Amino acid sequence: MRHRLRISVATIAALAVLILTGSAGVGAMAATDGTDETVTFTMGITDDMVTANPFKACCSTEYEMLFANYDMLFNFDRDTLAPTSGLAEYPPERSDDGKTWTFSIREGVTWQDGTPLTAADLAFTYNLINEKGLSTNDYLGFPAAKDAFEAPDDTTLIWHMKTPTTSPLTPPWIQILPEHIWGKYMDPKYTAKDIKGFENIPAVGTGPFQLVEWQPGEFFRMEANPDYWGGAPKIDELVFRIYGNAEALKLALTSGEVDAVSGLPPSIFDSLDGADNITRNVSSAGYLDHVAFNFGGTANPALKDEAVRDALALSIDRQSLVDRVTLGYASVGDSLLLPTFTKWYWKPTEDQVQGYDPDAAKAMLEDAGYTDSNGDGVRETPSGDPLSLEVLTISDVTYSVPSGKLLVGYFKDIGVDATIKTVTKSKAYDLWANQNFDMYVWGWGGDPDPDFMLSINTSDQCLVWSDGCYSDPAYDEMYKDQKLELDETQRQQIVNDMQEYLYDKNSSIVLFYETDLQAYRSDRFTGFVTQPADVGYLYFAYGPYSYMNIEPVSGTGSTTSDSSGIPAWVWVALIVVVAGIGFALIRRSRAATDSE
Amino acid sequence: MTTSPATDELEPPQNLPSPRAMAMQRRRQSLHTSWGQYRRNALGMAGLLILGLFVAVAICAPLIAPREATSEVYAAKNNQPIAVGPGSYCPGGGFETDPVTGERVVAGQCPDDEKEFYPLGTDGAGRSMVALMAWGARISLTVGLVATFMTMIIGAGIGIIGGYFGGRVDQVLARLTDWFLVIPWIALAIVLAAILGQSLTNIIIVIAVTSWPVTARLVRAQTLTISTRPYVERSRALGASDWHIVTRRVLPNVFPVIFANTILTVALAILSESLLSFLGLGDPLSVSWGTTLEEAQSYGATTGGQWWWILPPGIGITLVVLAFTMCGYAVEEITNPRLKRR
Repeated sequence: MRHRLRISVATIAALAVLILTGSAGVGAMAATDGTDETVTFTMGITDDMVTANPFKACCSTEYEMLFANYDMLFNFDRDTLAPTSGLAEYPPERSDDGKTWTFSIREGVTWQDGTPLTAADLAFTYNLINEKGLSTNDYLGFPAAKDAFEAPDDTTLIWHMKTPTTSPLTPPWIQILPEHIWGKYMDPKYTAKDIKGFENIPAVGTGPFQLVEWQPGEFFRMEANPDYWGGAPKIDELVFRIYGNAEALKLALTSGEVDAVSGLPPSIFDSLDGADNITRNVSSAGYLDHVAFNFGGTANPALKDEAVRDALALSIDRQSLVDRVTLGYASVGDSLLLPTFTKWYWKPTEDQVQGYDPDAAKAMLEDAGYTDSNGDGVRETPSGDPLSLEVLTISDVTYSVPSGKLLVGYFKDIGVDATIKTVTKSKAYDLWANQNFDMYVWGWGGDPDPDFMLSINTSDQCLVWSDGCYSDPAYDEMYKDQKLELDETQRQQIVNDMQEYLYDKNSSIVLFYETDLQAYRSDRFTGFVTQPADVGYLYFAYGPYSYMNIEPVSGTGSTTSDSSGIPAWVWVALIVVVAGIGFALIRRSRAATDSE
Repeated sequence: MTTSPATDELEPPQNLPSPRAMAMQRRRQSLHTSWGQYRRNALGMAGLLILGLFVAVAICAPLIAPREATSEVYAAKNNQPIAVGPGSYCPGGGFETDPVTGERVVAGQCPDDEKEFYPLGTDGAGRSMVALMAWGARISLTVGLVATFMTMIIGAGIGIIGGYFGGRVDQVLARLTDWFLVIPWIALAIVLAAILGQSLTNIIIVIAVTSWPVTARLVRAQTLTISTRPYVERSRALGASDWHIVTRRVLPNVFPVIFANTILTVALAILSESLLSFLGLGDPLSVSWGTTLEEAQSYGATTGGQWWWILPPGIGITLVVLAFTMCGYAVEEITNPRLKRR
């Protein structure tokens, strides 16, 4: 009796292991073979979309979805980020007076619902933005307001300008929308608010993927568009799965729940060093982190004094932020434009650099009348109020809180009564809308063309993209000049001057340029490309190039049990548990026989 | 009415001590007996010993490490290595990429005598874990004690008032207590902490506001039994005011319950502080064990293998909570005869 039981337990244990390993092997084969199976590429992220509507998009996750779902007038080149043919052929034709631009529109492009695309769709998209005042909001600076767009035939788009600009070459960061779906919004009864309220799922675009499902907080799913004009993607589905924190993201990657991740904090990125089947990529600087000041609302009025901002800038050891907060995965910041875009980036000369110099910062405050008159260790403003500043940090932004903590220490060193406040992004938006902050630590991505980044410090952007409402007529004038300058070399000069101007005025303090830390499962997919070439991002770049190019690793035996995602210790634990249950059963049966 | 009451004319006999002195003596004696009982309780003594250790650490924190050692900037300026385990290290920014092998290695090479010894390693900002533990003990214990004190004031106040006055007052207060009791406290605490903002004072308020109902109930029940005792009725018959009865008759008799409950509440308050800080609702500029754990979590220390960053604060919280609980049970055993071991 006892003997037989023991055999059966052993058999069960062996069978269980066999079945489980067997099924795992089958699963791995199915995933890699991919003949009949749907090939799904799953991306793990920590920030969900805010919206699927291009007019409400604010942040990187939406842009990533929009890049895969839509085309623009011109797209960004895979290798150089320069404008390249998108729905229109590059370069366009410009009339001699510079006021009329003619674009020839790609033929044979269909929307994801099968309707053919015509030049009228492009004209409609731009006119809608102008007509409904969407250009005064998020799209400020793109098609200059009140320009007219017409489509004389299916393959020609004409842009009539009031004032000649180079806007078309920027290129306009505007997803081209289908008139047969969005057309109703031209009706006078609809306002910009109605348009922003459109759900846009499934999103109909011309891109290689189509957003078909979104479970906020969980995932969103995009299906491949086999009729894409740039060629059908080699995968069937693109899924973005949302995780609560970076640590969960890492576990999802190592366990095989996702195939790739983006935006890892440096500590977690480092811990993936040497992990099996995982390839890591450090991009060139993709974001900048800065201390943005508030010049209105409830902010400390001392921030309007340039001397105070200059002193704060000198008090910060930016190199130590790079070393300690980003663990070296960033470079020291200066200009508001990213060094990645070498054509536009301006670097301060050695004399201009505002390096770490707390003594100079103290002297500067002293000279400007900010002295510690009552001996409490905190400086007072010339009018006698203590110089207290609150640094707003954002808990769901990777480097914000640790940077803020160091900043508070540096500010205190020069006699500023600095405190820190940590809020979530959504709360931060609230505070910004009411201009209820002194300064915050967050950053910007940035376009290959400098126009947008330079626009955020103009007076017109107050409470649109400019949270602190920096306003300087001289700067506004320069911004207009660069926009109207048709000669590229001339424009480059103005753009340089503008960067120098902002750096000198410290409208915000650029702390560092961060890289994007990405990793993917090399045993699952292959064919990733970086944009720009060699130094760029695998994804979350300026176009869906990796998603179009990746394909499953063919099942040549290099990947077997590892891809099942179940580590060896789980098997050991399983065997122990099974054996334990078996042992307990034996004990029980023995106890039963004994009592009999 | 104009003449003074007869009692005033009676002079106490000279050879007897005053009633006050007698009471004092009686209390001293009972305290002595209680302490004797407590001393025989091994669990209670162990708790007291652990607690004494942590209190000593908290008090001696400035001797263990200067206060600046808990600031990120101090670590940055001294170039303390980042997230390294217990051991001796050269000054360095943490990690750097080896130009030859491409590996990420701990930065900095230096002769042995320039190395700094970190007995418990450092955290992600490069701060010595020893400093964080010592100063964290201060914050954790202070918050725990102050929050408990506030809890007791609110809880005991409401419990005694309700239990003593009864009637409509009791109805209202009892419902209020029930209401606070059924609200999921953690949700309430998170919402309150989010609304009030991040500071130590607010954390204390949040803990007090969310943890008083249990005390209020206990005290009310005890007050109800005491208010019907003959000596309370006797006092009332002699014309004692409510204030006199509450402070002289009820409070001293409810006090043991409050005291035992206080000690147990401290444990809860410390846990709550750690939890709220861990959830990122604590004061970002004060160093408590909870905030240390929160930073470890957001750095990825749990999967990154930086055990020295997680274990010390974790063990600290566990031990202090355990110690308070052990002391609390020991005191409860003395004050509540029914729990006395046979």
